[in-house]
Amino acid sequence: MPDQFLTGNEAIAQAALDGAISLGTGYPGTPSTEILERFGVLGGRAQWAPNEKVALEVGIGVAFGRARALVTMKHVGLNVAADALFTATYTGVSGALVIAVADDPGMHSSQNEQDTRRYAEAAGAPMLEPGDSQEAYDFTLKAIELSERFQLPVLLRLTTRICHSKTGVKTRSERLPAPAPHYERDIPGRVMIPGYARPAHVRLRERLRAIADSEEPRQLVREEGSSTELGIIANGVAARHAREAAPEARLFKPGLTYPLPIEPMREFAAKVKRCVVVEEGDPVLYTALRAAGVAVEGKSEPFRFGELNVDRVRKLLVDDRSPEPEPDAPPKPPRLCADCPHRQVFQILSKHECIVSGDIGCYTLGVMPPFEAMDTCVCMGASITVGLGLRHALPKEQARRVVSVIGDSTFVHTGLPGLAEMAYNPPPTGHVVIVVDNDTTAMTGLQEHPGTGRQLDHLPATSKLNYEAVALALGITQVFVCDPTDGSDDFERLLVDRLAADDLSLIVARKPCPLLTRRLASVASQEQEGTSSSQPSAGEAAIAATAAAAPSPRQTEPQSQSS
Amino acid sequence: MMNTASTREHNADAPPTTGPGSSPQPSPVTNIVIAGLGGQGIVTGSDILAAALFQAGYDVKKSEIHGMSQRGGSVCSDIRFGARVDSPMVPAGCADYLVITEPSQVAPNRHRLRPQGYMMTPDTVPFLFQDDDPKGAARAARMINVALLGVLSAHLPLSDDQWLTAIRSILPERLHEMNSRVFLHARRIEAILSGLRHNPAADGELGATATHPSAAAAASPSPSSQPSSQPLPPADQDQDRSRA
Repeated sequence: MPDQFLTGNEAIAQAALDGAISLGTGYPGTPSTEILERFGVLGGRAQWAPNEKVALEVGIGVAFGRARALVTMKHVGLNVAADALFTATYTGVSGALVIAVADDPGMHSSQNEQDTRRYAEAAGAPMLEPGDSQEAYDFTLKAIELSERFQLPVLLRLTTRICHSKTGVKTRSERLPAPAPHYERDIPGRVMIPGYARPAHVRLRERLRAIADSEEPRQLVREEGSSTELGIIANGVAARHAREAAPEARLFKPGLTYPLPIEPMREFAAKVKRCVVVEEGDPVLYTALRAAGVAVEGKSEPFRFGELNVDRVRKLLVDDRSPEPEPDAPPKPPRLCADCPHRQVFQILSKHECIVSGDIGCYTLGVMPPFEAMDTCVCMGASITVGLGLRHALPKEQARRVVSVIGDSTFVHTGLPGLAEMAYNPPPTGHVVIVVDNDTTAMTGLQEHPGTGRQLDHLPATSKLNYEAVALALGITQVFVCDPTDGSDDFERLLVDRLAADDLSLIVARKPCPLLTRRLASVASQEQEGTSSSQPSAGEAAIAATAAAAPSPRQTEPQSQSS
Repeated sequence: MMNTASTREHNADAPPTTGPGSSPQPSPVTNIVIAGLGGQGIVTGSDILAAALFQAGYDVKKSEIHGMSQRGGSVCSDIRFGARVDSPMVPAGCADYLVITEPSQVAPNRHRLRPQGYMMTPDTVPFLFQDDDPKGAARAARMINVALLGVLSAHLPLSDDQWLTAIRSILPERLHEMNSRVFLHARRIEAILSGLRHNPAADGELGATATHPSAAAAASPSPSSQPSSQPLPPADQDQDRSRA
């Protein structure tokens, strides 16, 4: 195919299609979300998982069956999936397992700026790092090839500026031949009891050595320039900033971040009088090079924080630590939409001076004025459990004001074990959990999940998770559903009542996100344009499903569904 | 602070496009920043711009932040083009053109403009909002991204066809006609105001032939100028079609 102009995410999706990926799965997370969505649009088999650990484990199964899996997530998602990753490198795979992980330096849309490169070495997973959309495309295909050849899961490490920047891409004219899935029993290779895991660890180190000794690390290097004065070793998009910041410099960009092409880097450093490592985030390349005895300079502490850009690389190269230029006014922060149903919930929580243990999603914006109705936000699913800890520790008059607020997608992601904990170890004052159910994963752009009853393409799924039934089954006896936006004071009365009780309560505050309603209408109209069938379209069915999900007027009266 | 109404910092002595020899960079790159608020179509506008430039054969890179900013916060998109572009991000103080879709976003973004750079804001296209019908004005306001793209286009070396093809490739079909009209209207008025002549043969020299906008604005309107009381005149090719 000729040139296309693609984001890194779109390029990865195209490569997944051209690389005959059998199944794409993941959990939405900025900036990684569009990979799977695009893969689905292109005709690939793409599905959202409840969380990243589930996605990776499904991918492991696919790759155990000699098929090809692409698993996508943002950097913090790999923390959730890390348990699976650290042993998947021991078992290895017989098909291909590519894990695309998107870091967010500068935290445009994240709670930390952890550097995923650390995971590659820690878990023993080979890692490729593209620097633009072309490399995102090429390296995805390379990751499939490396995974099959060396029988290891391969990490594709991305950053915001790779995922969301558009650059030209030349794609392959021919797709890889599709794999032939087949199960070959290999108990010592797949069952990680200690007796089998000990040789598996040795095997992992041998495989990593085989990659390091192969032609691959050297072949993926990009080297430019002929300066004998200044040399720059840079990874990912930092290499492109560096090229522009120092056009005269000799530049070395390793494609493989783990295992690193140490000897080519040593040879490179020897060709220049001064060799500087330019990398966003942690000093990963710098530390590895210094440990290998290569004389390189690193960066000073200020450059560890945030994204790099051309200006910052210029300053980094001369260790100019002067402050960054400030805009005349700060950018406008995001906030809850004017018609967001979360607003009513936070207004009431604020009014009653609740101690709100919050979670991750649009509703995290409840922390912003005028509500300022969030006291903690740590990681996905932590609202319920941190709230329980507060309830356990605080004096009763404070403990009774603690409320956990969690979104529907986050509830499915990692809220469920917290609910089991709540039933199992109830605090003396009980607890109140509010699921703010807007029927979508709104913050990342309206993705579906098991609780929406719709699959990745917004069309109906075969099942729909029922939060109320799950809570009852887990042993939460006080379960309520209400629409916080119905104009009544039902939600407020219910909350006050539940805070006063020493019970375990789950309140589902249910009202679909208005953006979702518009999106589904658009899906329905596209369906109509696309088909001349007189039958109701799948998109219309999706809307009908949403309408059914919204409480009918008679359900808005808070009613206990306790068994 | 500078009044947003007088946003023209363009100087005829220093054309906004970084021509050969005028830049310390080995390969001249034109830097554009589009900034506004979530929901104003910043990403869509920059998609159209980048698609047009890419189809015209330039090396193009475009970068923006999605995610939390979508919720009504500040959004900004960087577009760079030239023979070779390395970094996808426009360095501070290097934007040749700063397109701002919401006046409140001037202050947070002004520092991105180069000293001789050119800023355009909704005040650059007041004619767009002079519709007697409030619905029409509101509809026009929703196309502020495309209108300002039309203004910007008058300074970039691409033809009407190249722009309209890009608009059609990015927007859904039902939006083609109205957006194409708004785009062309803004493009033509800006071309007149800045004394540019729309001659495809002059491609690549448009920036260099720009005259001082204030001088252009003082000049009497050319016969082809559309009366400003008609905010959305049909484009030539659409004259036989009623306004939906």
